[in-house]
Parts: sequence; structure tokens; C-alpha cells
Amino acid sequence: MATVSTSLTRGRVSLKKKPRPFEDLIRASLLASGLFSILTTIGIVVVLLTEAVIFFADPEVSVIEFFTDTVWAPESGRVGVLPLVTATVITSTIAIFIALPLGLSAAIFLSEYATPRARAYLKPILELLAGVPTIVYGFFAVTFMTPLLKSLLGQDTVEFYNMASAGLVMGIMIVPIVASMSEDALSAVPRALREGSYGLGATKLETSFKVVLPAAVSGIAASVIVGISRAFGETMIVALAAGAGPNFTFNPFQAAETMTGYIARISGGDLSFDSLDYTSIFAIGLVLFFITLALNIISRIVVQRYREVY
Amino acid sequence: MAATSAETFARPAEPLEIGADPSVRRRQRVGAAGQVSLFLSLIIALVALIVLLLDVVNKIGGMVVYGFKIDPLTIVPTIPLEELSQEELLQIINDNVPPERLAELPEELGADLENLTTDELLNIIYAEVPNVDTLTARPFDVLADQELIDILAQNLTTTRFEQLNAERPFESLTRDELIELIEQEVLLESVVKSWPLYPSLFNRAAIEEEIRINYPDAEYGFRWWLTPEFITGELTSRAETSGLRPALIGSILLISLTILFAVPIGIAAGVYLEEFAGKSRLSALIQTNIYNLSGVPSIVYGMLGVAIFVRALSEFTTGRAFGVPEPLPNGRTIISGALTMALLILPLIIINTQEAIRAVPQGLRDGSLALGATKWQTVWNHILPVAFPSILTGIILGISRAVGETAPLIVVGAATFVTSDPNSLFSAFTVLPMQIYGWAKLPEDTFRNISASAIVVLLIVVLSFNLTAIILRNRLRKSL
Repeated sequence: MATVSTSLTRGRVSLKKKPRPFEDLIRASLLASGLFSILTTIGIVVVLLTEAVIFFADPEVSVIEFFTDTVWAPESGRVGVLPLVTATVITSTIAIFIALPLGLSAAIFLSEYATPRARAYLKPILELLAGVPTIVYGFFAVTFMTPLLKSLLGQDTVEFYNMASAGLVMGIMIVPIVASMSEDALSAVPRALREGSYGLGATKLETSFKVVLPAAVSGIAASVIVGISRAFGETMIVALAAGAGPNFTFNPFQAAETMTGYIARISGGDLSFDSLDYTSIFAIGLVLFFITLALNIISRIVVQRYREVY
Repeated sequence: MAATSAETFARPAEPLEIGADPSVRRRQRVGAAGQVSLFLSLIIALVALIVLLLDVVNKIGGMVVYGFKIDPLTIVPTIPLEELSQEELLQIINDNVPPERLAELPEELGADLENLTTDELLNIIYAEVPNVDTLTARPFDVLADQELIDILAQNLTTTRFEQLNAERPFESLTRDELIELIEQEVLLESVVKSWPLYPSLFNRAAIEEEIRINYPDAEYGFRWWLTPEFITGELTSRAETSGLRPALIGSILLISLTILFAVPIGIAAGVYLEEFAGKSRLSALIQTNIYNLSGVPSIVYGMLGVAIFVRALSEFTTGRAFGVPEPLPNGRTIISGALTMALLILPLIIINTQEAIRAVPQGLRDGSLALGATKWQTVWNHILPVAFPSILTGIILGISRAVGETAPLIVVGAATFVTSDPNSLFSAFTVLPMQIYGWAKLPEDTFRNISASAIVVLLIVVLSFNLTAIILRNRLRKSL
């Protein structure tokens, strides 16, 4: 037993670490909270997998058919996921076509051209707009965008439910995300690079696009990938505006149902817990989960590998 | 030769004409054009969002034309034709038989109409006039109060009659109030056509003209859909009378429970990751895991919720395990919804807490530890209080996200039509965004109006939360 006896103390001071049970209890509960998040992920994977396995175990369903068939009609035995996937991809592509130019331009303007005072007002407005609930965008798509498209392109070309409406409004929804993340990436580029470029006689536009943008490309790419991932997982806009029936088509003006729209529609109806419909939403959810997980991992790898360190 | 170079050196250079080089001018022009287009893109994005807000606001009020779903003529008492005098019967024939036919009749019958007996006049009426039953309907104005009450008794269900009588006894109502009650309850006064807000405000005369032409006798006026009655009213199946109360109560209950679950666990996990965890593989795994979770689509959380809380844990979420009376058949209750939403916003709160704690100066920690405090004492007494405003910002952002999320709750099973306000943890529920979704899907225009009104309520809530969080965050950045 290590003890120390000094002239200041009458007795002996033990140098053994004093047991503090409360401290240990706290530490344990904090660790438990940290582990809780792992529990969530395990829960998601387990739930999706078990129900999806039940779905694939059904005699009517074959895995090959699931990934290659172009008709989704479980009641007639056709369970091809391609119509849902193409609808998701088409709406998200339209969305990113809108969001990338607008968001990136807004970001470049904010980080390169705007005065600090303007930026102090505009950036919070952008963040505020990122908080608008997606159901509001869905309402807007049905009540404004669809009639607008119909009047611009013809009442017959554009169906009442169509992918283009949903895609365009989704693009507007994603602009704040792309703009915000890109602006962070652009602002992180050191001033010295810009100053050097100006010193060599370049205009502001040339500096922005030829010097700053390439330096921040990893962050911008990450913002695009995150935007695509958001678009893939978006439900309410497509549930209201894109349509309620799976349809394998590449015409964006037709109605089609996305993966998320399908899950929302089936869950909203009367659902018996052991039916093929119930297990099918988990199979589709599994596909969706893996796609968005892959996109998020790719975005992180892109940032790590291609980030220029100053 | 040194002299020449010295001369060259000493002589001032020719003044350089800025922009003399044509390529410089071109590049500057391109630069200016580029600046304008970059600014325009920002404006386009903002304009799109403003258009969205204006479009929503456009639907929360406007000119409307009222009509009745039930024909008033079918419910009022009528005088039997037999009791009418000859002049009155003649009057009816003259009013309701087409002129050509009126001319033919005397020839067919061999006598002028004035000379016919009442029976013969009655026969003519039954033969020639449609809608005989409603001909002699007595308008509301001439009916006595008791007769109005009788109309209510005949046309309402007994329960509804007693309910209304209990709320406001019929004997105490004036004639006008009774008529209004009949119009609301029996005739189902409804909106036949509505106009958007901006034309109604700025172009009212043109709309009124159109109403005069197309709906000559109808009642019309300006109607606000977003009213206090709407916000506090019950949910009904008709847009004109429906209200937001169950949805608002559901949202408030849901958010309160969500915060109760998510905030303690979220802050604890954030504290653990920043203060107590070393650079171990486990903590790196937890960190990566949290980032991945924050990118998972919200509907996947809904599926997790339905499988675990609604199905697997249904004993607890329906309340059966706690002996709750009249439990729901499945676990689609508020508590399932709250647990699901808690899982959804947990990564947000954890990441925000981590950033908040990271911003606390290291000197504070070191000083506290140097004075002999334990790690937890340091955290609880020094770090958390300093980091709290930032953590609060994260919580506010989490709340605003949870209030606006619809997809996970659709999967977990929020109803779009609840008949009574949710009153316990284990009751069925609906929330504000679900109600908006449910109304927006219905075909009638009037449901779009109340959907838009509900959206305005939702936006006010969400945007004020977000604004608070942003202002808080900006203030903190300045003070640090």
C-alpha cells in the first residue's frame, strides 16, 4: 500500500486511486448512449433484411425477376423493381440538373462576389429555406408546377401526375443543400490562391472558375452526392406529384411511382402484417437504404481522397 | 554599356494603358457577364421559393360562392295543393306551364282556364307541372320558430339534434340563428366555387360580375380559410367545417415525447464521443455510424419504427402491458411515432452536441481538472453550461425537422382522419403534415384551400424555430 507521510499531514495519504462509483456509472451510461446509435443501425439492417428475406422466400418472387423485370404488379405475380428504380433515378436526375447549376452559382456568388454584409444576410436565408418541410414542396408541385408545365408544354403532353413536376420542385428543394455545402468548400480555399491569381491579371470570374473551384472540387462533389442522396430518399414530393402507379417509362411527363412513393402508398393503406405487400416494402427499402448508404460513403471518400490540404 | 542601361533604368517607362489589350477587355466583359449570371442564379433560387410561398398564401382566402348540398325545397313543409284556392291554382298554372302549352290547353279542354273547377285545375297541375311537391314550399321567412325546430328534428340524427340542443337550446335561439343552423347542419351549406386570394383582393369587381352571371341567386362573399375557428376546430369530412385541432394536439404531443427521448440520449452520446472516448476503433466506428445515419432517408426510419415499435413491441406501445383501457389493436400510437422520430433526430443532436463541446476552450477543461475535479464534474459543471446554447440550437433544429417530417409517420401509421383528439400516449394520432397530405390528396378545390391554410400554420412554426436557431447560432459565433 503506497502511502506518503509529510510534515503537512498528520496521517498518511493513500495514493491509490479513490473508487468513484458515481463517475463509473456515468461513464457507463454515456457509453451506452453512444452505443445506442450502433443499435439503431443494426436495427435498420436487421429489420430490412429479415422482412426482405421473407419477401424473397415467397414462391412468387425470384431475385432475378426482382432486379430485371420491368413490371411491378405483385397481385399478378410480376415483381420487377426496375419501374420504381427508373422513376427514382429520373426524378433525381431532373432535380440535380436544376440544383447543381443554381446551387453552385449561388455558392460561387456568395463566396466570391458578395460583400460580407450581403453574405451575412443571404446565408441565413438560404439555411432558413433549407428547413421548409417537404410536404410544402409537394403541395407546390401539384398546385403550381403541374399546371404551369401543362400550360407551357400542352395539356396533353403533360399528364396530371408526372415526374417532371416532382423533379423540378425537388431540384428547388435541394438548391440550399448544394449551395450551402459548396459555399463552405469554396470559403475554405485560402485567400493566397485567389490573390496569386489576381496578381497574375486574371478577372474575378476566371479566378473563381479556374483557381478556386478546382481547389474546392472535393467539397462540391460531396455536396452534389449528398444532394442526389437526398433526392433519392425524398418521399412527399413524389407521393403527391409524381403518381401512384408503377410505370416503366423514360418520358418524364408521364406518371410513375418512385421507390419511396410506393412505400408511402402501401403503408398508408390497410396493411396486414403478413402480406406480400408488407414484406415488399422492406425489400424496396433495403434497395433504397443500400443505394443511399453507398452514395454517402462515396461522398466521404471523395472528400478525403481529393481534398486539397493547405 | 553601362551608361545606356542606366539611362534606360532611370527613364520612366511609358504609362501603360489599362485595358489597351483587346483580349483584356473581352475577358473583363465576360467577367462582368459572368457576375451578373451568378447573381441571377441566386435570384432565381430565391424567386422560386418566394413564388412557392405566394402560391400557398394565394389559397388561404378568396371570393366564394355558396350553395346547398341539399335542396332547401325538399325539407320545408308544403301546403297540400288541395287546400289552395282557385286563384292560387290558376296562378300556379300561369307561372309554371310553358306559354305554348298554356295557349293549347283551353282548346284541348274546351273551356278557358278561369272556368274550370278546382279539381280540373288540380289535374292540369299534376299533368303539366313538374316538381309538384316543391311548388308550394313555404319559405323559411314565413315559418314559425317551432316549425323550424321541427325541420331540424326531422332531418338530423337524434344524437346530433340532442348534441346541438345541449350546446345551445333551440328555444333560446332567434329565428335567424335557427335558419342559420338549418343551413349549416341540414342543407350543408358548402362552397360551390372559390377564387384565389390575389384576384379576389385586386379584381373583386370582375369576379362579382362573373358570379352575377353564372350564379344568379346564390349567396357569395369573401371568405378567409385560415381563421381561428379553423385552427381550433375539429376534424370533419367537409372542408368548410374542418379544423386543425387534432393535428395540432398530435404534433405537440409527438414533439414533446420525441424531445423527451432524443435529447438526453443525444447529449449523452455527444458528451461521450467528445470527452470520454479515446481514439479507439470503437469510437471511430460510432462516429462513422452516426454520420451514415444522418444520411439515411427518413422513410427508412419509418420502416424501422413500424417493424419494431408498432409490431414487435406492440404490447408496450398499445399500452396493453400497462393495463390501459381500450387499447388499439396494433401499435400505431403516439408513442410509436415519438420513438421513431426520436431515432430520426438523434444523429442531428449528437453531431450538434459534439460541435458545441468541441468549441469550448481547452483552458476551461484543463483548469477544472487541475483543481482536482473529476472528468464528469468538469463536464457537468463547466463544459455543458458553456456549450449549452449551441446544444440548444441543435435541439431547435431537430425539433423543426421533426415537426415537418411526414414520411416516417405515414409508414408508422398516423391516421389521416381521427375522430377525437388524442388524449393519451396510447391513442391513435395525426400530425400537422399528415393532415396537409391527407387534404392535398382529395380532389375538391376547397380541400386545397384548407391544406394551404394548414401549410401556412406549419411554415410559421417551422420557420420561427429555424430563425431562432440561426439567430442564436450567429450570436454565439460573435461572442466566441
